[in-house]
Amino acid sequence: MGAFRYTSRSFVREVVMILAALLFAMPLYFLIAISLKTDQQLTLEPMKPPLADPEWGNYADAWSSGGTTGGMGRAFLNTLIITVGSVVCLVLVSSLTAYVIARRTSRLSNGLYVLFVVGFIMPATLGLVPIYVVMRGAGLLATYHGIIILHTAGILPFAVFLYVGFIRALPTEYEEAAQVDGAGMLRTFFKVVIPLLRPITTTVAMLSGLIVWNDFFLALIFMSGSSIGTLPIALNSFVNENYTQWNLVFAGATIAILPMLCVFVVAQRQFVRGLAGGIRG
Amino acid sequence: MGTIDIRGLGKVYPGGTRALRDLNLEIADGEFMIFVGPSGCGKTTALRMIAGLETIEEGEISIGGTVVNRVEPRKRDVAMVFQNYALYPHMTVYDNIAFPLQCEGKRKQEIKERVEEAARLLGLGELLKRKPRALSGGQRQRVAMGRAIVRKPQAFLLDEPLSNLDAKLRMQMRAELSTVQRTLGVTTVYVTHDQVEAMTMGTRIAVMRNGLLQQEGTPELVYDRPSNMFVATFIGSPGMNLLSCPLVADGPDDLRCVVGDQRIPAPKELHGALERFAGSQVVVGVRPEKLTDAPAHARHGDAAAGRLRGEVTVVEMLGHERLVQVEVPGEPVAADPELENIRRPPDGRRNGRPTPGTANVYARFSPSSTVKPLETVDIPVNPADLHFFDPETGEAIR
Repeated sequence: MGAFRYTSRSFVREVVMILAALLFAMPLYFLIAISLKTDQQLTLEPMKPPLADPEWGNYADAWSSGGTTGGMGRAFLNTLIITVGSVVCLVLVSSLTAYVIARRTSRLSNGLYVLFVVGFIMPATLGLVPIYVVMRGAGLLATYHGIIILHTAGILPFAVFLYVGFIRALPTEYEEAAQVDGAGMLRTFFKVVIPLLRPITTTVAMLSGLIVWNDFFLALIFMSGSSIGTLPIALNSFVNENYTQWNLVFAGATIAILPMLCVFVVAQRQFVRGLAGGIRG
Repeated sequence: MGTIDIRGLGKVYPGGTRALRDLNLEIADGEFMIFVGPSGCGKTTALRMIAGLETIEEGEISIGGTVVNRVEPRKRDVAMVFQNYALYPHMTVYDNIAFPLQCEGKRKQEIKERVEEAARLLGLGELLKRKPRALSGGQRQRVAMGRAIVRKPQAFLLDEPLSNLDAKLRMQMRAELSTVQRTLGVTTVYVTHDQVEAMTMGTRIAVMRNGLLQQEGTPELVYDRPSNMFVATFIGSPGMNLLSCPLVADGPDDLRCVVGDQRIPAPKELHGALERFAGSQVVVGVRPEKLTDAPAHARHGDAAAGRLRGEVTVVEMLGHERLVQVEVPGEPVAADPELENIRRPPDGRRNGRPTPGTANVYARFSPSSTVKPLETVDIPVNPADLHFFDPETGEAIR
């Protein structure tokens, strides 16, 4: 009783960890602090926390006044549709592809895997012009399904790479048991394999969701001229050549990151397990 | 009918490793067949080929009279229990057991009844809502068995299902599995490397080594009449004692093997087969339980015309008996170098490597025996208990 709970080593370690955590939390603090200030407070006392009189109205203004048609609310919905659509397509296609690559030992599947790894390494911007031409020809520009296909194809190599690594470490006994139990290929995949892939699926969904949710560049190029604006485009519209309302930009950014933050908090354990690999059962 | 007929079965894995060679076996309906052998002997490969999890390029397998070489696993009507149970971790015990019935497209009510029936038989009633991770090893093993029996298949295939359990639980599950198999009367093929499981559970044993079937028969037959030195040493714990020694003719109709200064007579009924070895080396085998400290006349009257004399090196008290290792004159025989390495105790102990010109034999003495290491013992040997093997081929001489 009464014994100091730290050794000198663990004490130093804990202090360093707390400082690191504070450092990482600083951008989040500024994001929220500035989003709750008035224009005047921002100019006069940019570093002071707005504890006395937080300007919650910034959020309402940002929500209604985003530069695209329908404001940030509409942009939020568009981004949600594109993100959910892309993630669902990506998980379905990449898990099936990776399953075949991981479980077949033929040269063809090995070659396919190499192709995906090359696609993963190559910078996507190299193919931007031909992709634009193809998508224009196919009538996929400025459409939900066009941008969903684009995102799915763009992140597919990365997702396949993650899935293949995970599936290769998965014992084949579960699938063999399902086969002997009388399941066909599809039932084995959807009833047995897909649930076993949950940790890596969470990881793939979160990483790809984050990429799609935050995407500015592809949305700007492939959705230009349409009413389907996404959150990053809407945020960009707050930035004006002559006058920028940073408090509204920060309020909008807070709204934009909130869903992803919530998803990460809820699914962080699965996310980490997916990255670490392995199944417990 | 759940007969399994295996004809000329062989398997070569990509890369050229031959796992199985010309396996021929007929497993009758309701029989409990054990495939036993050391690691890499081909027993699991054979089982997986029956299940359809390995392709068949050589030979033929029939289940219930139908050739299944090209039949998918799900259509073979067999159920398998894997070494690690392979319970679906995301499903409850109920769903795990119900899965094969759902695959068959059975109605919900029928599935419920059959799952509950299987759960009752295996004592799983209270565990149906749990996930596999919340079960002990023995409970998982039961669930795996439940998933197998719920389908009422033509055959059960069990791949070392008890190897992950501790010794006490393994003994209990051995009895439970045997009871379930007897109750259901379903043809069962059971793979194990544990000769105790093989001896206690099977109605028939197939001993395998390096992809080749060494011997098949009832546990009693395989134990009492091993077909070669490998089977003699693999079955039994400890296995049969083997000694290489010269066989001499001391007169007409009197063949004896020379062990040190002892001349142990060969059994009369083997003289015909042994005659061609007279004047050369043979391998003599005797089970440890045939070498005891009981008075000779109490065991085989005056027929004990031979004795094994040697120095005690190790005495292990096992409660119901004392396992005594005795160093006797003669040349040790390695029936299987790999197996010998596993069984040989670490170097440094006296029993690790016998001194040149001597061999270690095991004897089973009564627990009241006062024998101690470094003592010389004189153990009576009944000629009828001796087995003889050809030193060149390792085959039994009969």
